[in-house]
Amino acid sequence: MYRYVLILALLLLIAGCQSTRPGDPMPEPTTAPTASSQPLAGSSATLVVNGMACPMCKSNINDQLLKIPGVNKVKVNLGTGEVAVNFKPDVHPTRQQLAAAVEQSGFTLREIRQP
Amino acid sequence: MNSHPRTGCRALAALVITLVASPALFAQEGIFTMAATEPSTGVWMFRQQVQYLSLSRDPTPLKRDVTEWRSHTMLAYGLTPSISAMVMVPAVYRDVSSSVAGESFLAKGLDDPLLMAHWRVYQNHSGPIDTTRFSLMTGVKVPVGAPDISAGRFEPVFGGIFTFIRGRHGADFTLEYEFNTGGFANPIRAGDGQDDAIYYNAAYLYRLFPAQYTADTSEGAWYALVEMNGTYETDGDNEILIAPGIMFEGGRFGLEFGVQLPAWQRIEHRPKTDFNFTVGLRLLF
Repeated sequence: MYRYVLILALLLLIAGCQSTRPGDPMPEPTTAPTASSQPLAGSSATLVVNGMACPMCKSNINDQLLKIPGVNKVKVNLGTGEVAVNFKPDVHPTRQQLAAAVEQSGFTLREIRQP
Repeated sequence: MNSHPRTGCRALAALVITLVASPALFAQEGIFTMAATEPSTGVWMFRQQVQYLSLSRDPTPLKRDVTEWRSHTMLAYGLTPSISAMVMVPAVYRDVSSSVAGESFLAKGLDDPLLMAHWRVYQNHSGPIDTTRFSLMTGVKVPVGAPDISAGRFEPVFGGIFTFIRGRHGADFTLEYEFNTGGFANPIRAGDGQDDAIYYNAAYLYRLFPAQYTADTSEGAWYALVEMNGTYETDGDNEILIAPGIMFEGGRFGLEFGVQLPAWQRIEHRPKTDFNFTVGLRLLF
């Protein structure tokens, strides 16, 4: 039993030291992705995302973004990390929603660009 | 089949850890080595492997030769961005022949299912593709398998997974400890005995195609991989297998083929692995 107490203590220690936690600020974004809860203007946005290492990662972020009301189409370029998001004409997503979707996918949002 | 005392404490501890943690994976993951990647929140992943393996050169007086078909059916679910849960149900068709009277037998049915959790405790995404991740894993094998296959006791497992991806190159390392509270006095496969087992694995994956991802080549990728799969048991048995393989990963599915071959074996309590052919399918939904 002593062995398990040690294991549990180790797990809690490591968890306390984890570098990326939900709610933590994003590292060095070019713009503040969660700064605005206002719907984005325009018809599209490009997210710059780090950590999408494989085609299934692409599907992961695609699924999370398409859950957002107002997101019509998503196209991912794994090589550059750019995720092109097209909006529906009548409803537009907010920066917060886009940032949350990236976080739910398990990746790191670096920047949200708009034309 | 013998069992060890303190099984209840061990199983309870494993279940407690499982409740606070959780598993999954599959993306850019080796065939026999897990990766510290998980399905995203609310996403299911299904994985099916079929294996054909042969064991012989039994150093025990039983002199057994074994051929076995195994099916591993796995389902994982992303609970949070960093925590996932998984169940793996193995089915077995095992043919054991021995020169000792009464020791040949045919066993078929379910092996003990594994309930597992993965908890990614560290990640650093240093580029569009580049990632470094570390996950803890914990779980328990539930003794509901068929006679002659099930260990007969709850068997806790825990360990860690480290994944490193840079461009076309990826590597996974796992270390897993299994408390063999039940098991067999005369085991056949690694980890089936009454002594604890430590599984140590490493996998290297190289993306064959595309050489460079673009918007038009992000739909799928071919990988060549080679793995080292080791098992050390506290009775002193130790075995390292080398496993070359090939894998295709699309956005929604993956296909894999690999073979395990013996590289180094110091085994005194069970037959030695000759080979293991594995084909697999992964689905994301």
